[in-house]
Amino acid sequence: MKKIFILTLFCILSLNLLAQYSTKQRFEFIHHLIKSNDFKEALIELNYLDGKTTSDSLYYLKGWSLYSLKQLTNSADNFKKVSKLSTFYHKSHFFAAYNYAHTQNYQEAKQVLTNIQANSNLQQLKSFESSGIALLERDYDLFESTRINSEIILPALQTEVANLNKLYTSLKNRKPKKMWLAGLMSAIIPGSGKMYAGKTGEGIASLLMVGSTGLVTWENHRKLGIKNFKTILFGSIFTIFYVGNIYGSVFSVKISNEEFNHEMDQKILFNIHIPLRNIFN
Amino acid sequence: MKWIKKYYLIYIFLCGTFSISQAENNQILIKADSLFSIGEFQSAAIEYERFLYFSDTEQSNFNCLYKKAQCYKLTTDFAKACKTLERINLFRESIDNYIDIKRELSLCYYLDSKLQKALMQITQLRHKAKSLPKETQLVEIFVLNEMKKWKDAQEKAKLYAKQYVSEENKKLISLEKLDSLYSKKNLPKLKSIEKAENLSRFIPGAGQIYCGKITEGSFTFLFNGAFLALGIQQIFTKFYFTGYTAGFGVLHKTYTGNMARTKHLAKKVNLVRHTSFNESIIKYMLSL
Repeated sequence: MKKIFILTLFCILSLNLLAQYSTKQRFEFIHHLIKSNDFKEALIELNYLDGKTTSDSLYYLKGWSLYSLKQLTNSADNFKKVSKLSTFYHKSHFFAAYNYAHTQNYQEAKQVLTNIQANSNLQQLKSFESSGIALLERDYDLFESTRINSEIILPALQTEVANLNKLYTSLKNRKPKKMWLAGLMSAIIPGSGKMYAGKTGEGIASLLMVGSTGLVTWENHRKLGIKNFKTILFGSIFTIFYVGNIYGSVFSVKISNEEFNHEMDQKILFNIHIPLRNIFN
Repeated sequence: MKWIKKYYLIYIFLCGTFSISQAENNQILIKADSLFSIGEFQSAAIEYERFLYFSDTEQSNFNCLYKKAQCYKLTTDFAKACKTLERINLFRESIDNYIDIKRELSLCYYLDSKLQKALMQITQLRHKAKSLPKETQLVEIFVLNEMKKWKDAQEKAKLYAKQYVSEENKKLISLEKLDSLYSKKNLPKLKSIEKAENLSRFIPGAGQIYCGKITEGSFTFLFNGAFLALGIQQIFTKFYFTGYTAGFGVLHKTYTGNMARTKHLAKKVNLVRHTSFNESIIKYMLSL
């Protein structure tokens, strides 16, 4: 009887083993694929496991693969699903917040950060990330309240905290350039609006262009009179250049402001990203 | 006696589990091959990698990596195909396998536009094997063509024809055809970018004519000439500002723009001629 029981057990186990790889083995293999930078292949494997298991590793690895493939919104959605019981909990949720911040979903990023249950060391990282997101939103009051003021700063955060403070100073000290002022300046002295917007080269070129067509118009007007075809032609060209330059100056201020903000955002994102890679990798 | 029985059973169980695990891994290999045969190359590549990961022995590594590389090659991911082939430990492989790997590597590097690397693989293969495989000889000719080493390419192409065209009559025809294909008259006449630029510097439009764009060059010449004439005429009639701005100012813009256009045109013409010549050689060599 015993022998029959053991043999039956053996047969059942054999059939089970023959059926397919276990979930654990699949995860080991996915880890291997990720280590080899085969993220697309890892995602195919992870999609196969989707629905078959609700393991935290599934969401973490999916989030990581998508993050590596720069699909940040999907990555954040997966990272967010990692439960507190997982060893990857902190890493996943901090990266989820960063991914949301990168995709300009600041509300979700703040929400994720608020919900993180962190120990004393990670509390400092949490404050730092929150201050970074506040700076991305240009919420200076929130930045002041969340930034790290303590003298004891985690070594992995020291440089980035200093960098973020510098970025805060340059953002706060910068007076946004006014579009109407650039237009007015260009109406008085052609090209000066562009110089005000920080595009000196373009401003000088505009000044020369408008100035020279103006001089040509004046010369033809003086020698041939206002009704002459040449005066009308060059006068029209001058008017187009003059008005176009005013319009261009107004837009160059808008572009200049956008460029400045974009550059600042990139620097902030870079500085809040570095500690995550240093601490969790 | 009871204990001996127990130990026997444990031994049988462990042996069974081990053999099943091996069988299971072989099942993966069969699955990978099936996926490969039905054209599911990406899934097949994953299954080959899975087999390699769970395999205890290195016996089947060559086959698996080779087939995995084929999967990537067939999905035109040549960089990954090269990376996979580079994983094969060449020191352990037989000369036949070595030739297969190098043949595939040279082809994948050529298709990935890494010409120097492709040539390096061919050189290594030449050192180890007595003769190059047929496909590698073709790859070498194509690589040399891409590198504009026409003379070397012609030599290799003629050697190839001598080796693989069996009928004497056909062999003679193909050698003549190769001579005519690589003749000075037929070689792509590549334009010197510097010369084209300098021509346009002295006579606007001459660079375009040199690159074969006669209409464009003539119009450019007339256009620049018209503004130069306008400038001079206006200055002679004492319209100094008009002459300087509407004549010479605009001329300066069209003149510098024309120089940049000539440079771009020379590069484009060279690319078209080079590609067309290479394609004609590829077409002919593959027909042999």
